[in-house]
Amino acid sequence: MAYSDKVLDHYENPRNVGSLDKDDPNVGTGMVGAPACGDVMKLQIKLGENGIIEDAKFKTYGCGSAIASSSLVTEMLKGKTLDEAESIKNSAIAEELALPPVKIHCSVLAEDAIKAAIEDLKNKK
Amino acid sequence: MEFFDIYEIEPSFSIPVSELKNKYLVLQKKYHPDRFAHSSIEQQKTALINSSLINDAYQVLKDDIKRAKYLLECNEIEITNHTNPEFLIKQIEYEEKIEDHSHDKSELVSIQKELQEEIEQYKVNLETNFSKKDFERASKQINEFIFIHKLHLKIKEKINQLG
Repeated sequence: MAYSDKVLDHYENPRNVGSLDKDDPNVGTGMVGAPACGDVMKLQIKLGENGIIEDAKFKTYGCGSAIASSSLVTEMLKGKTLDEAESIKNSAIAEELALPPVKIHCSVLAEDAIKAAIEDLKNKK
Repeated sequence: MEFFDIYEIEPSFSIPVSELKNKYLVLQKKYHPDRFAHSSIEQQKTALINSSLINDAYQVLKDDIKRAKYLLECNEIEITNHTNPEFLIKQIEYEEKIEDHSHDKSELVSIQKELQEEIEQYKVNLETNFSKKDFERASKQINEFIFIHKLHLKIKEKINQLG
């Protein structure tokens, strides 16, 4: 199966790989996994004083599409409010990366990771 | 429980693997389509169906994960999609440890041992829960078992590459 250029770009030069302090009250951590393939994704967002997401980091262990989906998501999240972030749909991720049908679940995983990170953040407030 | 019936093995998570293999060889020989080359079309068809069923059943039963999933399926339970976040954090920590020691064979071997112990523990727990018919718990454990299993394969491959 051939990856699209965009997937390859994110895979070879992943953006925002790393970790934020999970104990920071302004940091939300989303941990999700796909039992079908054993992929694990950690997505973290940091909310600024103004209610805007000022930083996002990820760590994904999985296939190229899962890495690309989470890398893209960190770029999309920065500068958004939590409401805007919550409305990001997996279809937008899949479309942007031109994911084939068998890899759509990677974008679903990324969407789930956003939701989990937001929920974690809200639980801290 | 058709797959277990084919091999006359009591449906459960822990099965006698060598018995399964022996029975597979016997059945496969008995129903091999080549033996029916001179039989009627009808008999050839039946032999083909039987032989592929024997194969399918063997592929599922010999594999811990597939067998566990099959047991759940037979009880109309789906494997859960939700993985415990605490568990996933531990997986990431394992991955980071593997990355940090990617050239340190002895460290990788010791991580592999840890994972192997976890795998054995999961097998024991799966057996317990399946025999108690606690399918909900079994479903959660298979979910986690799949991750650990994948990680274990990955580290084994890395160790092999180091030679």
